Amino acid sequence: MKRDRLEALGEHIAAQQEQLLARIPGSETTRRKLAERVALRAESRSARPWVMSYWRLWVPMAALAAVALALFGARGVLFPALEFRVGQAEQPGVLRDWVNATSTERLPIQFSDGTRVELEPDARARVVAVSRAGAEVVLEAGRAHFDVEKAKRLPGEQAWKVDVGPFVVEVKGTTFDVGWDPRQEQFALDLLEGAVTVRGCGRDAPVDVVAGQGIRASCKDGSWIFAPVAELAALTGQPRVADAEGDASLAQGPVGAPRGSAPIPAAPIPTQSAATDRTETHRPEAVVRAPAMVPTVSAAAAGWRDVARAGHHAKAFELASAAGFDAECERSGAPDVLLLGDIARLSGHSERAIQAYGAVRKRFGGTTSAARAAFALGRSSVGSDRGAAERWFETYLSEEPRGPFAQAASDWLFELAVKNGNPERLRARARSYLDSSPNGPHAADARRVLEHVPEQP
Amino acid sequence: MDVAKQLRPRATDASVPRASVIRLPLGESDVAVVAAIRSGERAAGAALYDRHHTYVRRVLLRVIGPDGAIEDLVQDVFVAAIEAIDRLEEPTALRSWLAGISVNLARVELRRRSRGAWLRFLPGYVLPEVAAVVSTPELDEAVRASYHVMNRLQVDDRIAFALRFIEGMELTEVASLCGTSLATIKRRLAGARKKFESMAGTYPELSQWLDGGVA
Repeated sequence: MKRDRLEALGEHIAAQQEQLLARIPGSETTRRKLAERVALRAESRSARPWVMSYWRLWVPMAALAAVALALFGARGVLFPALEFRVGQAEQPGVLRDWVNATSTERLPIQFSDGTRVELEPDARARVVAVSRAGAEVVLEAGRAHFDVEKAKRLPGEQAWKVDVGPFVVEVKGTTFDVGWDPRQEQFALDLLEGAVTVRGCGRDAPVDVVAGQGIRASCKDGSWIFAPVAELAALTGQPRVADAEGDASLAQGPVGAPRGSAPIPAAPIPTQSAATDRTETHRPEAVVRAPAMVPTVSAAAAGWRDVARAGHHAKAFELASAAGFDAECERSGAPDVLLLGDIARLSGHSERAIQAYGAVRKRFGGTTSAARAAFALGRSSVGSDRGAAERWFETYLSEEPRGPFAQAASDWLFELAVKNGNPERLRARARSYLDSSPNGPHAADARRVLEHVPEQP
Repeated sequence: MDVAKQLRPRATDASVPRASVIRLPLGESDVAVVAAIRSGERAAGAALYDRHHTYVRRVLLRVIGPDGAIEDLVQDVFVAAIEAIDRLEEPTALRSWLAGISVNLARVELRRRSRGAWLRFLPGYVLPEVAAVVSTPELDEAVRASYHVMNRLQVDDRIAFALRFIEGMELTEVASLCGTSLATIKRRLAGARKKFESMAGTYPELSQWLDGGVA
């Protein structure tokens, strides 16, 4: 009876509001504003550039092109290379000179673009090249914190790069801690923000690292562990780079107070299990996380994830397409490929959505993600192919009968049976619906089906 | 047998004045108004408003409740409609298109307010002049208490709840305006009803209704 009383309350509210509405006249001011708005819209449309004559279009473009060419030719004069200063006293830095931090204090290197490198005690480094938009820094030993300003580069310009023993870290505007112990040949990287690419130590394929992930690698024993920073300590027994106080492998002196750098978010863990590199031999516990098996994730690709998680699906889809939708489907981890499918579906690109979900089914078969992809494929097919939608929902229910989408899959199967209109199948579906969801949203309808739709002879 | 028709939810009691009929001037239609807006006729903006302002205001009133911001939102809905008129594929569906814009703007407004609620916990926060539930002679305590309870629902739940239980829309229409499936809207409504009834128990003005004292 409560439901009836709630409806009665709703009707009471509506009736009272109708009295209020009857008292409110239309606004003459709003009418006038809307009339003006229509006129303004018409005027702005009539002034669109496509009605411009050719000379009005091409002359400014030619002028812009000339200016761009001139700027490109004179970029060395107009855009001088970065400068840097060393130490608290901010002494002008000299290219290719080694700088050492003392055993008790950090040594800052401040670049003119705002980038800051902080050498931990006893660390040694040198700046070997600079351009307008980047520099190359060699870290010979110890640990350093990098806070790199993002800048757009002109063709051929030096990007930010850090040489760490046999490893090279290519930087795209980011914050990270890096360490190198030449005696143990141990490399450590914790990425706090942004994205970097790491290569070296006989490794042909570059490894793209995104915020929250880290690497512990050794040329000596060939291990290469790539995992969320939060898990690296458990996997390797080594602390975070910034916390490596007393760790003989990376720290050569005490570490002072925390810098207050941003907390490291947990990164999604790639779940692909194929493993073929040296890490497998030496550190089996890290194999599933080794990046060589999960091909690279570019900085641009990292961008679509952030935008997608912020709920901007169309923009995220644009970014993912720019980063290479096909490649993302093939190289990203299961959660990210599912996310890729979601942004495609929610931005109206159903074919791409089906492609992404299909990739999850193909690459991660037998996992929870594959089951979720089956459900998503059902959702994506509802409008175009009801038969396929039914099969996918049934697949989901068979793979994850108590999963979070089980109720929704049952609901969809019942709705599809109603739309198909086959009485026999509808009765069967109503029965199975009531078996699995006696109190589900469609339970009342399912009972009405069994009550009113006659059994076929 | 048209099974889908048979399963369609029952209409609510027609004796209650839930949606008044809007009398349209002879010789005009939504199609003509849309065409006139697209061709830039000034009078079309006013005509659009004249034909639909009561309906738009009603939808907003159901969702947001009596509130000083309603008139601004009504204007925003029409401005948004004029700007987006080229995206209206079916001019005969103008009314439901306007309802969709109204629901979207109401959602934005409600989310803005719910975000603002967090600011109150920050030091130095000065309480802005919030448009409270307007007290008018037409509204009794039950209405005001209902919107106080609805203020505590999730925004999407609240919208579905208002469209279904106050405006009396069909489930399919609610699902369409909320941009979700029928099953989702059923789940959402079931959850919203449960929460509403649970919270309404603390309001004597509502417990009379829900426990049988008035209805």
